Amino acid sequence: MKTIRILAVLLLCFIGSCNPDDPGTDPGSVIQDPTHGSVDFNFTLPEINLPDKGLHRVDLSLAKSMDSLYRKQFCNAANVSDYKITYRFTLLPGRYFYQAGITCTCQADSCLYAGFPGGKLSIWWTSGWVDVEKGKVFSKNLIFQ
Amino acid sequence: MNKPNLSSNFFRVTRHGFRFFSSVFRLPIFLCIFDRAPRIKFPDNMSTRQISILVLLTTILTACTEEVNIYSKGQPVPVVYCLLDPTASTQYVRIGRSYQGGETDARIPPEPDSTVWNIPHEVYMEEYIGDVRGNTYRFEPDDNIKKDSGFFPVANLRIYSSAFKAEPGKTYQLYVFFPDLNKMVSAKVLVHGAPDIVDPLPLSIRKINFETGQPFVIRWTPGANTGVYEMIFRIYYRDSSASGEEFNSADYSSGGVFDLKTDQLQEYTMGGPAFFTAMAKNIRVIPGIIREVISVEFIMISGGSDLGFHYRMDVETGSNFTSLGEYSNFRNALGIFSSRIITRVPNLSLSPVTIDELARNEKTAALGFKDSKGE
Repeated sequence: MKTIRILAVLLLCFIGSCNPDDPGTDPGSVIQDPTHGSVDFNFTLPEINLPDKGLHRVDLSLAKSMDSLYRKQFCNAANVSDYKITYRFTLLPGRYFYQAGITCTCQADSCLYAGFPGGKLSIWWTSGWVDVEKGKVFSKNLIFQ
Repeated sequence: MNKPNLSSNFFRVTRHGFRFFSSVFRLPIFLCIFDRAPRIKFPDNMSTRQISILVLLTTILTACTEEVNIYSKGQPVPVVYCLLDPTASTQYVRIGRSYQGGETDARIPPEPDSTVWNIPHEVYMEEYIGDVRGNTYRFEPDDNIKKDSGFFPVANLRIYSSAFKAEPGKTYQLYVFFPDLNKMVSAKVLVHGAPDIVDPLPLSIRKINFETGQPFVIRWTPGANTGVYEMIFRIYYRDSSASGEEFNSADYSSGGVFDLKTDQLQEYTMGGPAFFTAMAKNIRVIPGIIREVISVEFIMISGGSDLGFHYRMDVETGSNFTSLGEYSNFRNALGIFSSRIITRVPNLSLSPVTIDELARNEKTAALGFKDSKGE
């Protein structure tokens, strides 16, 4: 009888035992590196007299110096899209030089009259610099003049 | 051509046949029980013959209606594949039959005759707009199409073609009729719509960046009834060596993407280390060679719901058409009848940052790519 009771208790323990939770991995989490800072570029398209579908973001790149920017020796670049306004870069502290470009795909001379110097498919650039500080997030508005 | 769908009648006849025989085979068991069951009392004026007839009738009338698998091990089953392509002017159907192989030695191919049907059969397809039947297309044998890469146990696969354009939103019913067997194989598909790709935009001045930390987001509006996607970035590059120049390409693929059931704008992220791993895997290291990225092509392959089910089953079972238990949407056969659309965005460019990383990344440095400055 004693053996049966022990077996019954063991059986209950076995049946009622739970599976340990699998901690798994968290591919989406990002550990903030305290040695870095971030900059958010607010890449708003200028309000010009063109259809929305004819105006496109084409470039947002960073370089360590003005000279590197001119030579297209970029250290970072964003995948710009017509469906996204804000682009974040997480970088080591320091000064970074940026360039941002938009283009026009409208027909005829619409692009030329809207201010694109080379007309259709030419790029309207803006550039400048930002300072990145450790552990801080800065916001930068891109303005096309 | 008005050909009746015989599959339902055929099954009914077959099932009655099995019902009858299974009942007859059970009769001796019933009689045996009757003989050894003294509690069952029949009227004294009934003869043994009458009792036997009564038992036989009872057995037949109450026979079970359980489903009988008409394909026992060793019997050939039609295996049919057809993916309608709305962008193509010719549609293809591949017809084979199951064979037993690989149980003893997978390297020994099956007998060629055991993989094809050497009895007469007709292949045709009916087009429906809603419930209204439109055109009927007859398929003829086609020896011109090249096989895809992959394992083929025999050379004589049977391909059939018909020149017509499948249209998204229309339903197509495929029939394969075997007159000698009085057997009809059929399947139905609603052709899915083409996706409208938003990103990448077909603008070569907008660069594609696979740098770590800057994922590339593919955006598209899905076509109706789509069940599965595969996204591919095909990198075209030039190999230069002492023996001359050669143009090649390497793919960076998303694999199958499913469970995206919505008509809203879809997003899927690619890039980062996975891109460099794919390049290292798909491009051979050749000492002394110099490589230069030429352009990038984005390819989106979308498939109908049934292709999605089939792909998902392959992924979840880890198998690849190795058993007869695979998902199939055919009646009286195995295989897949679905639709597939390939959408391309060519002449894109890699960003200088990605080209530099391709040249210097520890995974890809040995491939010999030049950086963005051509060094």
